[in-house]
Amino acid sequence: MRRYITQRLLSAVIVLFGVSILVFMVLHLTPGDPVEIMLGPTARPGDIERLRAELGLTDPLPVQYVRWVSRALQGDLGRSIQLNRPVLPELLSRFQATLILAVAAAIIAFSLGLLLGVISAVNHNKLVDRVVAGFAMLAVSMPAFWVGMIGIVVFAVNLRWLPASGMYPPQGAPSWGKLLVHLIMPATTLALVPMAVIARFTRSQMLEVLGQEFVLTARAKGVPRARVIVDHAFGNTLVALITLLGLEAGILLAGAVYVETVFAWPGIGSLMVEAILKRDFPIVQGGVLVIATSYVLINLLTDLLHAAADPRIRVT
Amino acid sequence: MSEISSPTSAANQVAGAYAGRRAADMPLARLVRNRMAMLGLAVIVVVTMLALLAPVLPLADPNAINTSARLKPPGSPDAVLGTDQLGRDILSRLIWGARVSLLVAVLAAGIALSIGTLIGVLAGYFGGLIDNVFMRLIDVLLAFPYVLLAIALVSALGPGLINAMIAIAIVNISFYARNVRSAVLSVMSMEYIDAARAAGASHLRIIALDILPNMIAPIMVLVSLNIGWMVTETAGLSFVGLGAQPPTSDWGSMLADGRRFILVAPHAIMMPGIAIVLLVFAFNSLGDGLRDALDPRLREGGR
Repeated sequence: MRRYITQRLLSAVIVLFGVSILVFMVLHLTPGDPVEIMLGPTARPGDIERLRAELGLTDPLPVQYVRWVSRALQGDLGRSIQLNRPVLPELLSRFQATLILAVAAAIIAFSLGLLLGVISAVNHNKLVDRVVAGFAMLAVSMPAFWVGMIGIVVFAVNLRWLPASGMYPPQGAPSWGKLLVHLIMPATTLALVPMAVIARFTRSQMLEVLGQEFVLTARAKGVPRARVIVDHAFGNTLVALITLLGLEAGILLAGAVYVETVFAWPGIGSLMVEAILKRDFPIVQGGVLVIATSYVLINLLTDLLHAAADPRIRVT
Repeated sequence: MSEISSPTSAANQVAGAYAGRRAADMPLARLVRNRMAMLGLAVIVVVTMLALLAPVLPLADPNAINTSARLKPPGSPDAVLGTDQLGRDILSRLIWGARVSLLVAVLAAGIALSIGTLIGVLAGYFGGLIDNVFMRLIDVLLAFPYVLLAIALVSALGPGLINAMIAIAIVNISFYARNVRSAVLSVMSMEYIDAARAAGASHLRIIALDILPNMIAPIMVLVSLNIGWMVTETAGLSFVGLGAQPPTSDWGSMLADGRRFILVAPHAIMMPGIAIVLLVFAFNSLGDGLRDALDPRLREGGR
């Protein structure tokens, strides 16, 4: 186990190194002079020179990279051009909003997805199974940004049950209750795709386990069907589900970009889209770095959890 | 991430799944029996035909602005699906938009597929150092949630449809590379590869004649499962303003236009949305059907 952990940590460090190079290169891949693009056509030549020197863009690339990484490791990701504030605190406060949204969506996705998957597997090839399969297929085919808009039209505009956008009402003190009401629609929208993926995965895992001999043995011994399903089959499915965590985290973080845009949720995804359109590169660069790093860490954690739960993983 | 969580670990073993088949079990016969897959195929054919025939169909000019006929509801005498905020005919814009959405998705898939297959075949066939280097590079690509990497690339290249397409293609290289690599590995264990090698066949000959033909089935499954996602993703980038720029418009930018008039004219977002769902659903059904037909043991799993 210790060897596996060391190996996995090492490869995470290598991947993070690659990520940092890629993120660093993003700014330099940009066609044209990044400084001129940042300052726009109205910039004076003196300003361009000053900003270029300030950003250290006159140094050789490896020097720039090392300086950028060592600053990033100390928590300095530069200043936002639009907001004229340090990037990191801004990113972290927005990331917090994204995490709240993603965790809420994950709770919905896992609870409903597991439930639907188990129901499907237990009613294999019956009508319920087909309905769930059709629903799952539809859910993965619907773009979140469209579902979100339909939700706004139905639940916010016509029925007036839920607020259309934002994290809190514009006036008044923030509270948990207000947050929860604002969270319902975006979180449900974001949960649709991962819920469908979890339902399909759970169903196939359950079917596989239900077909195995120890399940048959348990049934032959007279263990009630419900207990076999819950203890034997579902228990074994949960271990396999750990592998889905990483994939789900990716779907949630990525989907958040669109859901945040539709619902004006003040998360890191909507911040980055705004930043790209306004050519605020430090925000984009920092945002990509923060999200990618957390995603690598989530995947690392997933793998370690999986190895802890299933000893066979560590050997290979 | 372990193999099982890869979007389509299903295709892994497709290549090796051809032992002892009978006529009724032939993949094509199985695919034709699958009603959902056939329905999907029909939708894809119809949408493709409409998109190809757009210039000769009796449609209103998709960009003709008519401010006196703004936001007409569906079912109006001269605009079956209504008009948008500039009085442009939505049906016509949908069909012309289908050209853009389909073309971008197909080209992006083609690019990702070619590069991904090349990497996957080289890594799987030669193994060792080459495999290690390529797979570490793929790991770096996989360290980004899909959309995020696309967004980072678009930010570097600048917003626009072509750049969005390039970004989507790059993001999906890892998907093809990983799955093709595992398919190659399963073929590599076959005896005829050893036989070819013993007979003195060159690497190039073995790859071209023994490996690649066995990749066609898994690649077909991968493409059909992936292309629906590409349609959604292109629309998504256009929706947030990073894809199609005016005057070009695809289904995603139609949604973005309609979004501002959501209160008075919800049909402006309903129509392009339904078009996206229909097409993506069709691709996904066909992909599922293809996977089941090519290897019935591998039902479910993947997205």
